[in-house]
Amino acid sequence: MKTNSQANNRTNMQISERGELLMMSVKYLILVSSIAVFLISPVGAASRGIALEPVKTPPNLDLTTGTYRALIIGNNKYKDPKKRWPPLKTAVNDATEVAKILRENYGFTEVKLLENATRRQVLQAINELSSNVGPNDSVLLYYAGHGYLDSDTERGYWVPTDAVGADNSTFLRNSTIRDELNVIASRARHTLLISDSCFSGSLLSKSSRSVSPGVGDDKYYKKVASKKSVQIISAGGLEFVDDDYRSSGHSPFTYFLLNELKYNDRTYLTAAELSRNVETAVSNNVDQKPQSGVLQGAGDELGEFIFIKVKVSVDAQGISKDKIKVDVRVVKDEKQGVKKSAPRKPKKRPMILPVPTL
Amino acid sequence: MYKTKNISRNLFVKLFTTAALLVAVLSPGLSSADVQISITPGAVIFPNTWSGENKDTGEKFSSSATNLGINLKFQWRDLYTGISLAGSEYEFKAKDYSPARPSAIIPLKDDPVKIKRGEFDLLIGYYVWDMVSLFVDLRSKSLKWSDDYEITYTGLGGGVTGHYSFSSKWTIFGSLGASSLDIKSKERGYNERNIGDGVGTAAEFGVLFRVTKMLNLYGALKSQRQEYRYDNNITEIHDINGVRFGVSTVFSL
Repeated sequence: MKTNSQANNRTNMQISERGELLMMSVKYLILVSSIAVFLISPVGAASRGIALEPVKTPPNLDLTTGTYRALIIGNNKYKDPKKRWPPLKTAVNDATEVAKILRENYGFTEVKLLENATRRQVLQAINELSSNVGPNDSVLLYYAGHGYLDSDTERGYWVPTDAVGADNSTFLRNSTIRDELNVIASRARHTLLISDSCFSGSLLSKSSRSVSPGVGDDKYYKKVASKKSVQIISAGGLEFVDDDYRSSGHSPFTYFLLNELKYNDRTYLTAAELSRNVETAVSNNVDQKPQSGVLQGAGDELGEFIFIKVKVSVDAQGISKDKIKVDVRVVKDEKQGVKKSAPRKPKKRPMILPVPTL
Repeated sequence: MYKTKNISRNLFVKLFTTAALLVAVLSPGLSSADVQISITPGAVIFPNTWSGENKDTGEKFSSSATNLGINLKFQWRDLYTGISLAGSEYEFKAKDYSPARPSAIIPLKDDPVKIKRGEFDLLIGYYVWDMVSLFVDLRSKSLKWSDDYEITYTGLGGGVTGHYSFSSKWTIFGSLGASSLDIKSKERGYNERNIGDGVGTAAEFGVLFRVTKMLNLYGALKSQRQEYRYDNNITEIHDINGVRFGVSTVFSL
C-alpha cells in the first residue's frame, strides 16, 4: 500500500528559469506525500512520522544543452583464431549498465549500444555518431574490451572482436580513435571518451586537468557548460586492468563509475568530478590507477562535460530511497531550439554527387 | 574521317587547372561529411564524339573533341542548386555536311569549319527520397561558327537523379532527363531570329570514388540526343556520346 500511495505522489518537475517553481513543487510533493502516507498508513506507522527531504536542492541554472548522445561499446566474445584474445566476462554487462544509467538517469536521448563489435562496426558507429552531432551536443563514447600496447612503438590500440592474434592491422589504433574523436569534438560542445581497457592510458596526452575549486558554485557550472570540452577518462595507465571486480559482474573501473553515477545526489556532475571520484575509489581498492585528461589539439577550452541527473531521489525515514523520486526534466533553450524529447535525426543527404546536366 | 583541333582549348585548360588547384589548395583545411549545408565546386573533362544526320537527305556528320567544364553546387538539406559551364571546339570539313548548316546562310569560307560549342546549365533539384532527386534545368547551348554566325538553343528541361552507395568510398549514380529548346540564329547584318525548335534527352551513368571525406573523383558514361526541327523543314538528329570524368570537393558549412 505504501508503494502505491508513494507512486501516486511522483511529480514531474521542470527546471525553469526560476528556482521557485522547483522549490514550490518539492514542498507540494512533501505536503501531498505526508497527507497520503498519513491517511493510508496503520496508526503505529503514522505515529513515527514521515519526513521527506530532498537530498540537495538542484542549483538554479540556465544551462544551454543540446542533445546528449552516447556510443557505448562492450566486447566480450572475442573470436581470435590464434587464441591470443580470450573472451571477457564483464565488458558487455558494463556497457549495458552504462547505457542504461545514461538513458534513464542522465537524459541521454540518443544512446547506441554496440555489443561484441568488430573493427568495421566500431568505425561505422563512430562515423554515424559523428554525422549526427549538432553544435550544442554532449557526446560520450564508452569502450569496454581488450586493449593492447605495442611495447616497441608505445602505440596503444583497442582490440575489436574480430582481431587476429598480434596483427595490429586488425586493431583500432589510438591515433585513429583520437582522429575520430577530433571530428566529433569539432562538431559538438562537449565530448567525453571513457575507455575501460588495458593500457587505455595511452589514449591520453600529457596534459591533464584538476577539479576547479569553484565546483558546486552555480557560476562555475554555467561557465564550464558554455566552454568547449574534449575529455578522456581511462581505466588505467599503461597497465593491465581487471575484468571482474569481486564477482560484481563489472570491471573495477566501471563498477565504481556506475556507483558514482548511481549514487550521485547532485543535479550537475562534471566529468572532472566524476573522474576524480572514480580514480580515488579504484586506486583505493585495486592495483589500478585510472587517469584523465584532455584530447590534445582538439579545441578543449577548459569546459566540462556535465552529467545532468534527471531523477533526484528523495530520502525519507522509513521509506526506501528508491521508492520516491522527483523527475527533473531539462527544458530546452528556446533560443537554441534544442529538442531533448524528440531529437533531430538528420537524414544523410548525398552531398558528394556531381551536378547533373541535360 | 575528321580531325579535331581544339584551338580555344587553352582557355578551358586554364579554367580547369584553376578549379583543380582551388580544390587541391582548399581540400585539407576543411572537413566534410553528411552535413546539412554544402558547397561543391568541381571540374569536368568530357572527351566525346558529336555525330548526327540530316534526316531528310541522309547526310551525316561527325567530329570529336574534348569538352572542359566547371561547375558549382550548393545544397541545403534536400534542396540543391547547381551551375555548370562547359565548352569545346569541333572541326568539320567544309565539303561535308555540318550541323545546322541548312538553317541559315552560313559563310563557309573556312575549311575546315570550326564550331565552338558552349553549354550552360542552371538547375534546381530536390531529393524526394534519400536516393532520388528531381531537378529542373534552365539550359542554354550555343554553336558558334565564327564571329559572323551563331546558333543558340535555349529552353527548360527536367530530370531525375539516383544513386546508391556500396560503401563509404564507392557510389554509383545516374541521371535521366529531357529538355525543350528554342533555336535562334544570330548572323552578322541580320536581326536575331527564331529558326526552329527541338527536344533533347540525356542520360548518364557513372561511379564516384570518395578519395577523402571531401575530395571525390568520378567517371560516367554520358549520352545526349537532340532532335531539331528547323523552319526550313529540315530535321537533324544530334548524338553526343562520351565518358565524363570529374573532380569535386565538398565544403561543409
